[in-house]
Amino acid sequence: MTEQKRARIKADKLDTGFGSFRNVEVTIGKVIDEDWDEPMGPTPMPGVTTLRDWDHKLLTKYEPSYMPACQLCCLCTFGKCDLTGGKRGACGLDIKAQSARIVLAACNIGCAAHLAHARHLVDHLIHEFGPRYQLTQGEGVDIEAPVSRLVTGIRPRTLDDASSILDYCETQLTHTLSAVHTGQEGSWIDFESKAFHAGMVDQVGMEIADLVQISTMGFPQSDPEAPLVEAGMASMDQSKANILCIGHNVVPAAAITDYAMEHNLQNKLDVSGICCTAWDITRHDAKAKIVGPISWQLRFVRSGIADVVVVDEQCIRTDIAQHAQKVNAPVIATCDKSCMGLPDRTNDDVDDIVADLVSFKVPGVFIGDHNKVGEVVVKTAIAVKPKRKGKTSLPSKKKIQELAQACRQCSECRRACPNDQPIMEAVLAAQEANFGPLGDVYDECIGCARCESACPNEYDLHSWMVTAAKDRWMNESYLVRTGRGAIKDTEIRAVGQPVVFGEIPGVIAHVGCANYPDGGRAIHDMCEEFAQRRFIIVLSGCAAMTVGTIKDDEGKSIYERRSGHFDAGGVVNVGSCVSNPHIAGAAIKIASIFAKRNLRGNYEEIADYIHNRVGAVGISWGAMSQKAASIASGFWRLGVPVIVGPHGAKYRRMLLGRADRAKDWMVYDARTGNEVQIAPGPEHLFYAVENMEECMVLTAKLAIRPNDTARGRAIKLSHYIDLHERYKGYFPDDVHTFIRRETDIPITLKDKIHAQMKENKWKERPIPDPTLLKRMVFGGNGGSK
Amino acid sequence: MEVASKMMRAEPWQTAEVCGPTKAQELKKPVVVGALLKKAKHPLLIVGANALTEKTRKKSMIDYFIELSTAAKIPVVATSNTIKAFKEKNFDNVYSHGVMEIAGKLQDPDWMVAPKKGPHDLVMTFGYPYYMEWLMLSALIIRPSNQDHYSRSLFPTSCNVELSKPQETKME
Repeated sequence: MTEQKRARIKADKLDTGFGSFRNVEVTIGKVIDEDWDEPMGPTPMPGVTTLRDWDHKLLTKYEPSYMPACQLCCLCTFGKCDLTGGKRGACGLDIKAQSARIVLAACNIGCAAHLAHARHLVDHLIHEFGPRYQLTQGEGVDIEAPVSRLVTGIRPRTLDDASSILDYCETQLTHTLSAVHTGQEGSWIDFESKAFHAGMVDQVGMEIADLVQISTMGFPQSDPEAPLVEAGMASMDQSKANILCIGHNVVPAAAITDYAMEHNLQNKLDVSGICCTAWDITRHDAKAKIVGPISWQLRFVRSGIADVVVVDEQCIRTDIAQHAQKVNAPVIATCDKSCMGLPDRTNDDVDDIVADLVSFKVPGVFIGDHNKVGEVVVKTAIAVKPKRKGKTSLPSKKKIQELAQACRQCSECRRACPNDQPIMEAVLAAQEANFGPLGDVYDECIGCARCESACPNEYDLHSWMVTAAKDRWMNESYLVRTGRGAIKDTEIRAVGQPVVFGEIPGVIAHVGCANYPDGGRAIHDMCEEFAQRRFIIVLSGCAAMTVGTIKDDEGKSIYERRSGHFDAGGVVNVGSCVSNPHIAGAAIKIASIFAKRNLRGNYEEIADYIHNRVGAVGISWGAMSQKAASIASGFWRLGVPVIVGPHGAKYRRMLLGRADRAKDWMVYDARTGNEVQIAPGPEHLFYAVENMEECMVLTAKLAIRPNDTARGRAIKLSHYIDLHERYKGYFPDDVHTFIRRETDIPITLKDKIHAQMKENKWKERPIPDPTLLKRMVFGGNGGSK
Repeated sequence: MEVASKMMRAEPWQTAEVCGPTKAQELKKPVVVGALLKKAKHPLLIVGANALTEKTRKKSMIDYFIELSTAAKIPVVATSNTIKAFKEKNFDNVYSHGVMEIAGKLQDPDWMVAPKKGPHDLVMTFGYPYYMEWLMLSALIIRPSNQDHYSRSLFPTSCNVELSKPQETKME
């Protein structure tokens, strides 16, 4: 299946020799997309091994370094198997292959979550709008869905096309998932290659999910001036009934705002969101509000502000119903993936469901019909608010002080804390009515509540922190620019050359979850630092929320201070998790629009182009989930380096280049076919940093590409050297390795660099037209390396 | 291959960080540390950024490690911005590597921090979040097993261990 699409004929009335029919719809096999004259590339709809050679090139250059979190395998009944000390399990796998298998498992899980989300959206929207509904990403975007074009060779123009592309993705995921089974794949490098495949498929699935919701649900369409929306717990109007939506799938939340609008009930309701549903509900309705990232769930529910809690899918606290019940907030589960043990009331009468919820006869319900969700939730929220009377499960300071007296000083809370916060010490301070330390812990808290589970006294320690910091979160209010969607072709046209030549020093994408060691301030500081340095900053997901929490002296967030245009110094929020492919898509479109490369079914060539020329760096400071793993994997296959924050080390596998091994840094010069030595850039493909300071220096370094022009290289080196001197305290000793010719030297640093070059017996090198693919050499030497 | 660490003792500081069948033991006597240092041909001290804010016996940890390095002639790898503190004290026997870089490079049995200063047969670490140090040591465990190799995590910051009370783990 390459250029094929289904043909559908629909007729209100059809008279035939057999009789007369009404509302007939006929599907006839497949037809060719005849309007698209871009030639098909070599790898449309690649199978699991189609791009294996490319993967192996990357995995040889960036060999995995495994750090197994567990040295056992417990997946089959041959086990448990001990894989320590070079031992193999009963199936034959060693620890290296088993570690790679775990990487693949994580990427499969993440890919599945996005794909299932996309499939639900597409099926739902086909049901609502019909299969022939036209898809668009807005004016100024002719190359819509660049990832889908690149991978499948299809340009999705209708919901039906989107469905066909998901068919492909689902097939691929089945194959990569099956490879994890006992007695299938046996090599670490092929497990890793399949993880790359799952990541690539994930990018396609996410792109389809965002494309269809942008096209149908009134989202901003490639709009750099997408609305600024209210965020923070203080932005909630507590005189209104508050509906909290948690998760990633906007359909139920949209049904709620639509119902409220249709019935003129908006003045009685605040609809708010946590995690990516927050972004997508504000893209649908800019009057909706954002509570905060994923880690805000417990604190907000326990505060009692939410009158109804609606959960859809992904990244929901799985015990949220228990916490909501403590504050008499009914829970509505809306997604078949997360029913939360609640009774299925999909087919019941709306008023009966509302009566049961408002009377607290049931703590919550599962409703699979989204239109019914809208009506039930709105009616329940308005009716239950006066009955709840803002009930909270947060204790008073007086109660905390009283309870704290019985602390056993066992340290179990601190030992359970992933950030090793001094919780016990803060509790002991609270014995003396000193709540400052508990408030300090709140600032660093990621809301996991493991401290509570560990406490032998069953203290609600997270609630104690929230109470101690009440003055802070009750005043937390800021503006964030909601997700704009894709980057316009015109924007790419304007920045393509300076990005590829290095004069815009890089594109930095901050994406992902909120498992921060530092409360998230680091993301803001990194964005601001690099925006000032004229990098293009792109954001999505919870990272895009967190960056808005820090305000300047005038009370403005970074979104108010900086442009939303994809340009030097811009801070661009593309949207939710499923908007991430707009970031990859921007890099892909640079290859298409600036370099005139064909995208269609041409993955390897475009990945090679991006890897060698586009100074893009992904950063997921609080990466937590398997979805974050598969998102990163999609970028790895494109050759884009990804940095994760300290907790990202728990992904247990880095992809590390060895700057000290010259043979690893060779490319073909496409003009001559000669193999050419290059500088080690980008040095790593996946790396967990220790702290923000390391991240700053590494980000600037990873933006260096073999194709940089002399001016671009000089600019990039200036940033690297400046940040290195600031954070590491000395002039970096590897600058000479990045100098190809005299013209690469930043003019103000000439003396220092010359001295280093002399000391290291530097020799001039050519600036190649770099490629890892021998077939890309002009004139074609045939085959790939 | 022998790996020692408090991180992998029977009861880890972070309660969920349980590695597998190989258990660790605590290094309880300073004299054992001294013996290990004497035995090691090419020891390496790896210092992370948490060392910048910690003190022992009224001395900064950076000062302590400079003394240790000088006395025992151990090269120091300082990760992230930690190296700045060493450089500011005009200490030269220090090298800059990222924390994951050093974990990866130590998996290469031939790698050495500088010519004639390796391959390393004893590693001491300090100044990392518990989980990160734990993973670094996990990386060492899957290093090719034909190497006679020691690793010691003497001073996990999360445990506030006094230098006189280091911990030992013995594996394999």
